[in-house]
Amino acid sequence: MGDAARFADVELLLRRAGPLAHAAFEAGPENGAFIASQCRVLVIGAGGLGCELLKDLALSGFARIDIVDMDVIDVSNLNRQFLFRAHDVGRSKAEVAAAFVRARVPRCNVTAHNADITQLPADFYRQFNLVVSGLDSIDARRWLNAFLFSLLERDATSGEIDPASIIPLVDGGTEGFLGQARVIIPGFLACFECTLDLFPPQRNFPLCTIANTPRLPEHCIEYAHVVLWPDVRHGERFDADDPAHVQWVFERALARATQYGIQNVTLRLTQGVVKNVIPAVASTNAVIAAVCAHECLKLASYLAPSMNNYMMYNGEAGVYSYTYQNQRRPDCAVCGVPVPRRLGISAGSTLNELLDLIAADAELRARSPSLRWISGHALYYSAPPALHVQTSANAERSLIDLFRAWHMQNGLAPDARDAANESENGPVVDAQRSPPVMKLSVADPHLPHVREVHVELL
Amino acid sequence: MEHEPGADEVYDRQIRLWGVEAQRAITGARVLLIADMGESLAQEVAKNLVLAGVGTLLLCTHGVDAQAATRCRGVFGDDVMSFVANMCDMNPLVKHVHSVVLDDYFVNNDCELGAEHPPSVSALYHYDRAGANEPVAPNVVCRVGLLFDLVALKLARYCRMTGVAYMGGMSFGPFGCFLTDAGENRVYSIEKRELFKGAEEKIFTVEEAASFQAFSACRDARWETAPRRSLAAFFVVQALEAFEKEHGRLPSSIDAQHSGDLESFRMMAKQLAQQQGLDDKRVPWDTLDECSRSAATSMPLVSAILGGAWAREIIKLVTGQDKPINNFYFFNAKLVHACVETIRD
Repeated sequence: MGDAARFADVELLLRRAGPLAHAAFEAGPENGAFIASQCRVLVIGAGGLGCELLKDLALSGFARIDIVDMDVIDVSNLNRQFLFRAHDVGRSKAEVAAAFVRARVPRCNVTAHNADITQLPADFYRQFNLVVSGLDSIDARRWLNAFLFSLLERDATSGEIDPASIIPLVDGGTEGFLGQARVIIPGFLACFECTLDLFPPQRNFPLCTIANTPRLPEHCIEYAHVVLWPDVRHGERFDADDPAHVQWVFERALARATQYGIQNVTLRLTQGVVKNVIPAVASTNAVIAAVCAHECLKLASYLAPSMNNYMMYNGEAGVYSYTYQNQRRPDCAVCGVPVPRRLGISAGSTLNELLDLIAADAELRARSPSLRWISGHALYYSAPPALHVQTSANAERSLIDLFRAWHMQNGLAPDARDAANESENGPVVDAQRSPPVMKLSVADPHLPHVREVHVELL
Repeated sequence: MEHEPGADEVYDRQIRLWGVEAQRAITGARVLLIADMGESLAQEVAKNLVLAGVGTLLLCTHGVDAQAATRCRGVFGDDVMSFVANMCDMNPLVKHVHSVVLDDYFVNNDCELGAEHPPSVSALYHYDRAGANEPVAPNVVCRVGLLFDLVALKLARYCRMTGVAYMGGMSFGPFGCFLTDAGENRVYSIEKRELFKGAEEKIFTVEEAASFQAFSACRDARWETAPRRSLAAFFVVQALEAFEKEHGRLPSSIDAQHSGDLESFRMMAKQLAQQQGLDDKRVPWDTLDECSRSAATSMPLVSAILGGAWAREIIKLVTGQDKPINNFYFFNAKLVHACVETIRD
């Protein structure tokens, strides 16, 4: 059966027995009634996409909308988050957005939640027929994707998913002139985690470049930010929203840049780097939000088949991709059966360098990783501070050293195999093979699950 | 005391995208938008331009039915005046958002299409800012409505003669499009990236020039020489305009009184295809059939998508940055896809 046909079946399932089931499932005026009176939509984020989404959904007839955002309005939001005014700066985004739309579209009920999405209970999410997200981070999306998957209920005997537990997710994202939108039906077709490697890893500047061989103005800024600040102003937490802190970093970055003959360190660039600012403009958000709202409308009615399941928009050139279907990964950490991630690194590298490699890995994206041997013995903790202090000395040691030390500590000869320490994927330490392989488990606040990683020491 | 945020603060996120020079160009820009301001497409374009900081935006309401022309649907007020007030409130840094009613001069006049300076247009064109003495031509003139009716062709011709970019667009059912004439020699800059071995990539700007077709040339475009891979979406526009010319309205078979539109539109399209040299196999019948059903219906979401893409093109023309679409953009909400093609005679 073709994928398109399969998707159509999923949609039918949703409408007959799932969260979008309502009396009539043929195209007709009853669909309008469902949207206008019963369908409950959750909008996640009240920023660039969220404001446009709220307007679009309200004008499309949705009348029961909830919106969640834990941020307050900033003056830099005003170029695109058009539900906000200068006098709203400092107030809750969700509340101001909801109030604006309630006032202009009286038949639309919008409820605001000034809250962290990760702190809302499962029962909160179960109220909704649809979730549409306009989040600004990959981490938040991973969390949402994994969470909606966790709500799936399966029949104890058949293992089949109960359609009533499926909550479709429409996800939009923008950055400058680029935007993308996708439809995720948890339990069917590709999820967000399946396609994580589509996103280039976050631009982390390697510490050695920052410390020893800066070439870009960004390197000078990061030096002042991550090296000088903790050193000179130790104990004081750096606050990217405090202009005095940013000014301090800027001045020292400029001094360093002068020292190395590097140009273009500006206050604006400094703010951009320390706050990880993403450029944004109204037109891109307008397009992507409307595409997402359109998908919501299609899911809630019989207007047309849903996007299956991903599209991209490039406002620089003005072109769109054709909608294409992301492939589901059988080994996906959220919706599949994960296999160990294989990495290779030279045996003489330090643990720090391995941590950098893990952080930069497009699939893992574990920026504050904690590592343990498969056996459970600690290797390195990023957090909490008490455990970090105990293991931080390991960071500078070479991997081959750590490999041998683990053996000695555990009374094993390098080629020993200890059944108690075997993972289901084989012995903890494959010392007989050349090159040796460290089998570790990686945990990270951003990862939905612990991942097994096999590190080949070359 | 309330702190009035300055341009640098408000526009920070977009300045990071296009730079201070481009932002200055946007702040100094004048855009004329001729439309029924009750239409969501016109509102979306206006909203995106005001948010970007376009310094002067002139909204010219034009419609046969004066009452209908001033009624607005949407979140920005019930009529044109409150829409304008809302725009000013939404971005106080934009000092000039004005509304004027364009009379039916174009419809009723006895002015030949070849006339050089239709009085109404030039008066509008050189709309004086309060306090300014010098008449100033706009950067871009945009018209929401049929692409090739009398009004559009007059405006397009006048703009081309005076070196002003002209864009015409509309949304019809689940579709939308716009066509651009930015003149015979439109100069723009683009960013090029080159990767140097061992170092970071180098970014530098390059100037290019493009030549645009006149609207009248596009209207009569024939299909024999069109590229094989063309989706012939533009033919849909030609067919709709032909229907409108004959019936005085767009097809709308979902409306009980116009249930015959499906057949009559198909027949007209078949004839037109023969006339214009378009092979029957290449005619986009699915799109045409959908048009016969719902072309007269406005869909707010389609307008929002089109409005975003259109505003982006206007910004390109105003700043001279990035390659403008040359010249036809067609969005299909059923496929969630847009095609960009060059229409020429």
